[in-house]
Amino acid sequence: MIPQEFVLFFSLALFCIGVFGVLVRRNLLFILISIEIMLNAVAVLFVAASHYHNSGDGQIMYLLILTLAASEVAVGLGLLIQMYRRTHTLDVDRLSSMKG
Amino acid sequence: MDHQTLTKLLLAVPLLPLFSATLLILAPLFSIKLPKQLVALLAVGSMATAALCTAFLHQGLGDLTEPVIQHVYGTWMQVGSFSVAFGFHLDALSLVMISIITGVGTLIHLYSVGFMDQDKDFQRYFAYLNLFVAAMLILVLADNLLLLFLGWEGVGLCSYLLIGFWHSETNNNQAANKAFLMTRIGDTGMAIGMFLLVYQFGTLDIQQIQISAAELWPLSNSSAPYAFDMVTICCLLLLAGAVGKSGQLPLQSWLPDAMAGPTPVSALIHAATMVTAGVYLIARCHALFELSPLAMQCVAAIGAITLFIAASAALVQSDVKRILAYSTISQIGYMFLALGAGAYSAAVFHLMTHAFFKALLFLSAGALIYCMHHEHNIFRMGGLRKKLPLVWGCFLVGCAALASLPLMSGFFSKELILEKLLDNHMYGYWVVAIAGAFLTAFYSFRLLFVIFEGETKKEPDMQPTKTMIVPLSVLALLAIFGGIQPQGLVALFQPTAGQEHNIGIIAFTIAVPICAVLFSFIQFKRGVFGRELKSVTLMRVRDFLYSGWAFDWFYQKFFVKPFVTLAESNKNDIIDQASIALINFSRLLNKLFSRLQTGSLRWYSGSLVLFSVAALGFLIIT
Repeated sequence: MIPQEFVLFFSLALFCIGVFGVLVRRNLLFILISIEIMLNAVAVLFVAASHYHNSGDGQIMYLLILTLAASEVAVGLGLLIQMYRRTHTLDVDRLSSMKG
Repeated sequence: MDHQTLTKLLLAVPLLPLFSATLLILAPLFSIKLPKQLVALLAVGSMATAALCTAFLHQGLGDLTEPVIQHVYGTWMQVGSFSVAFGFHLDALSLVMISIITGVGTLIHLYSVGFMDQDKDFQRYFAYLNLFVAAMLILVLADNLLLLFLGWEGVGLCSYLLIGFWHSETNNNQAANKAFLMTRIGDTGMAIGMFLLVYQFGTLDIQQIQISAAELWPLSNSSAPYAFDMVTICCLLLLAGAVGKSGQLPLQSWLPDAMAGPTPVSALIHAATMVTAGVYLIARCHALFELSPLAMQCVAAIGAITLFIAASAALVQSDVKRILAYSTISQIGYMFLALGAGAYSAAVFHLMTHAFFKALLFLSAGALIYCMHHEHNIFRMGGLRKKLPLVWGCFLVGCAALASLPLMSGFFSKELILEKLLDNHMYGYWVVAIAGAFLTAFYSFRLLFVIFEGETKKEPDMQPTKTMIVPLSVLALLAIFGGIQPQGLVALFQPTAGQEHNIGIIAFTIAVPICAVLFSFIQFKRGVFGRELKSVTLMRVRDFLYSGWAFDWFYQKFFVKPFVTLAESNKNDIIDQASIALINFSRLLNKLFSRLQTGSLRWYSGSLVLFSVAALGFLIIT
């Protein structure tokens, strides 16, 4: 039996890695992957909480998050490909034409 | 003639010129080209027929036991309990007015055929002129104030159109605008007066108002005869309209400028008919005015001041038409003075004789201008007596009547006014009127001498045409003999028993104009008129009089200038400044916040994380 704290710290670590990835990576693809990591961190937390409370709600929530992540990636990657076709770059620092 | 025929004849009088005007206006719209002779025939014919109808009405009215025709032809409008009828009221007063309008009007139309022969806008001219006559007839025949106001505004419109008839010149348009706007000031007052009367009596029927007013406001409070009560306010507001229309103080300065129009127009509108509408209005509502001694005093005072100011201004003018315009203002001042003294029949009598001799003077001035190739300045004429004997004769008759030399028409009417002033013990006004009579005789003979005596400065290049000679001769006869039968007029108003006057005073009033004429002749022989002035003070006085007592300057300085300044300062809409400030503020905010939209995705996500951490940290700490 893994202690609760371990799972919590694991989830936190994953989330921070995700945030770090979003902040430092320039490539849009890696930013998307980092967002996936953050989602998974939350999903792990849900599963752990479900185990702790002895109820199945969290696991269902995990399934929902999984679906969400899948569709998000599908849309995100589609946009990404379009973006690349138009601009031949995925560097977010150069993709800054939408400013006020 | 039975009553039914008379009412039909009465309706035909204003409808005939209106019909002709409508035809003349509509024909060009359907691109129908009317030949010149047909236009002239239509315009003059309709007027002559209307004059004929008036003559029949004269006959018919005399046969009636009570010489009044009152007939309602229909309802004009009906709003709740308030209704306005389309009805005419013919009594001795309106009969005199329609006789002047159709009679003098026909002559002036006939004259215009000759005068405007070369003008390319022949048809437009007669359309306006006929429309004017129709509106003027409605004005004097109306049995209620609203119908009167319709005619009142109609003549104002036609006056505007005809002053600016030669509209390619800016000056003429400005004169037209000035006339329109200044009369509009008075008309606004008159409209408010009508609102008050409706509020008080619920009707605009003139006879009804006068009967109700006498019951509502009996003249019993003799303790305060000059109280500023409701009837005084109503009368003063009506007086404002009359003052504006008749060119009296303080709204007189449009009339000299109105001479920009064709000369027959000046004769018809700005001498014989329209400008006397104010006199007619007060005479028509005299029962109302009699209820307010204060309003009567105002009428008399306005008349007295105006007659003197205008007569003195006429002394120094050099434009023949401006001299006549100032003399018109001055003569209407006499009528107002008579009205203020309660001598309505004298006022209307003077109105009638004035219509004759002033129309004659204007038409002969028109003939003079026509023959002298559009020369207006009297000092560039001279010695024309032999060259234009007919014009000279007409001028002589007109000036003599204007100066009220004995046995001319103007003599009888002016003497009557002076007599009534003495009857009512208004000695101050009498002195002003006598001084005015002296000035009148002086400037009218100055005009005559300067134009027709002395040496010839310019040769006439034309002689008046036949269509001009006929009206001139008829008017000259009227100006001489028009003062003979005022019986119908006197019968109209309750005649006050005339007192016997000292023979000396009568002799004095007769002698004053004769002395003025002699004085004028002596001054002319000495070559005073038109001479360069040496003294600066005298020149100042001359310029002051020349500008008509500087009223234009005063209005320019105290009304036009402040208004223009106000309008210019408000060019950017002061009230709009609040909403414009709001726009500017939100624009500023927009600039400020759009700085945050850098377009850099990592900057956004970084600030998102930062905010989340800060918010979370804040929640954990508290």
